[in-house]
Amino acid sequence: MRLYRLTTATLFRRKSWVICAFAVGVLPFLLQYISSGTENPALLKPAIAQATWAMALLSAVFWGFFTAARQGESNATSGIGEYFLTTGVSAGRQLFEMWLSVITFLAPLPFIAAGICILCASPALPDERSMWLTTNFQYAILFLLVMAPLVALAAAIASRFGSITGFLTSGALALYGLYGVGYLKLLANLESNAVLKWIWESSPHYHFADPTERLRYKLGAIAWDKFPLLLAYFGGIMLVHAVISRLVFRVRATA
Amino acid sequence: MNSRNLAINISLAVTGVALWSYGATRLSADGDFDYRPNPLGLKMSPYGQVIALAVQGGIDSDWHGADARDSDGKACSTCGHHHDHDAGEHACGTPEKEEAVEKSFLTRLEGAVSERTNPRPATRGHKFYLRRQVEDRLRFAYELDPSNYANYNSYHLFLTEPAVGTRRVLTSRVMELARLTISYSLREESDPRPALTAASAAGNILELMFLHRDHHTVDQMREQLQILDYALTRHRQLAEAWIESGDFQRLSVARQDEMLERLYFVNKVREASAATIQRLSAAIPDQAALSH
Repeated sequence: MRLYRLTTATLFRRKSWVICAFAVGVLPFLLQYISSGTENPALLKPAIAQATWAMALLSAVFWGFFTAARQGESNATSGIGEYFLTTGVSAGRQLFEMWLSVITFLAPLPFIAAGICILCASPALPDERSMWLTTNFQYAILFLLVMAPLVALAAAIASRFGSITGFLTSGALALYGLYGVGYLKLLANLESNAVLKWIWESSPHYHFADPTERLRYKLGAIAWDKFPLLLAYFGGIMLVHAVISRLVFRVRATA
Repeated sequence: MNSRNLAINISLAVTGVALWSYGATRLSADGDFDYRPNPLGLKMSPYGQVIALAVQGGIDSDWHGADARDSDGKACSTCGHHHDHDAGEHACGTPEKEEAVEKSFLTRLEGAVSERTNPRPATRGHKFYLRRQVEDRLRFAYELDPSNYANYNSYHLFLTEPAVGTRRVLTSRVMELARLTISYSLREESDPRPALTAASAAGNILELMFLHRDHHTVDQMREQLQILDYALTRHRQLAEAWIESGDFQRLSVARQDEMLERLYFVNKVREASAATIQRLSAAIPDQAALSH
């Protein structure tokens, strides 16, 4: 795990993770003052809940994918990848250790968001509060299942095509899965076009991991008979991305 | 690629595709794939409500941009609006001397960059384009906060008034929008202002019913009036609770006045609607008698 330790120490010393921690842990409490909660106090808690999850999402996309892409590129171009390869660390193992390092910084974000929602934006009724707790933890898990494979993909693509391409690929995929598939359904006449319908159905529907609507309307936790289905769905996408990442990733700049 | 890596990749790919397909098939069959995208959950959120207010500024600029041919193109330096020539120099009610004294450097700069110096009036196509921009922004503002009184009523005006709207919409769709606004606005449990929007939407439905009275019975109109009354009662209850708790004082004086003005206007609409229904219900027995 030497590459993991090296990457983790590098990321820690760069200190850019502080921005994510601030965005998820502190900013929601400041942003509530520019929400309509200043006029209607009943909206202050929803404003905090919405902002903390939105910040976790933005941090994962902008910081997580960019950091992974940057590490993937520098591993291939600086010679570190080749060095580790000569010491017996395979390409797949290198990708895994770099991925694990970025995830070490990224994984706390959804749990901080869930913690803030539970501690500072919980509903008053006890039965709703217990559902709120479950909902937040369910979404923390789904959030990680969605973001984790895209981190690996960003690093892998960046190692071959550069950090900008790696970052944009994962970022675009995440945004497409969160919102693009919805707009595709609204804008395209899917029923009359079998190809478009197939593309839409086989697209990664990441919006299932977006807790905003469910928390806002206090819809309760995802039913336990459906939650494993979502785990299987995102697990499948994760495995496919893992294979693509393993195939694309390379440890040296020249073939 | 060695055989071990190949085996790992193939097994991961097969398992991944199988799980992905299974999940997609089950979720698609349950109808879970259908959803309305809402980036960062902004629409209908506490932040969306603020952005909906901010959007009104852009709408104002576009509206007056389309309107510039009717005036000399200069906005009032005090209120930022364009007043008609007939309304006089100081339609906003600011005394001339006070205006001259308070004209700051920034106001003069703003005037310099927003003044229309093009002597040609906007073409019909250009004005249509600007009206369409306003209409699109109003729809966006409405989606952000359907319970905002100004955004809903302005959007309703664009949908119903052919002189300002750019897209022909069926009356049934306008009524559907009003009904959605009522159901959404009446969900609010603390702020009394959305209930006013609901009352206004009910008034709009009544107005459309009066315009197309052949398609609606008097009983349907009375039913709609009851919804208007319910929304007004709800507004009063929430307003009293807000005043008691002191939350009403959180609103600026301008917002408080705005709410009271809207209440006054909705009450007037309610009185006029009740009178029209009474007149129509009185006319129906006469018509029936004449037909015999």
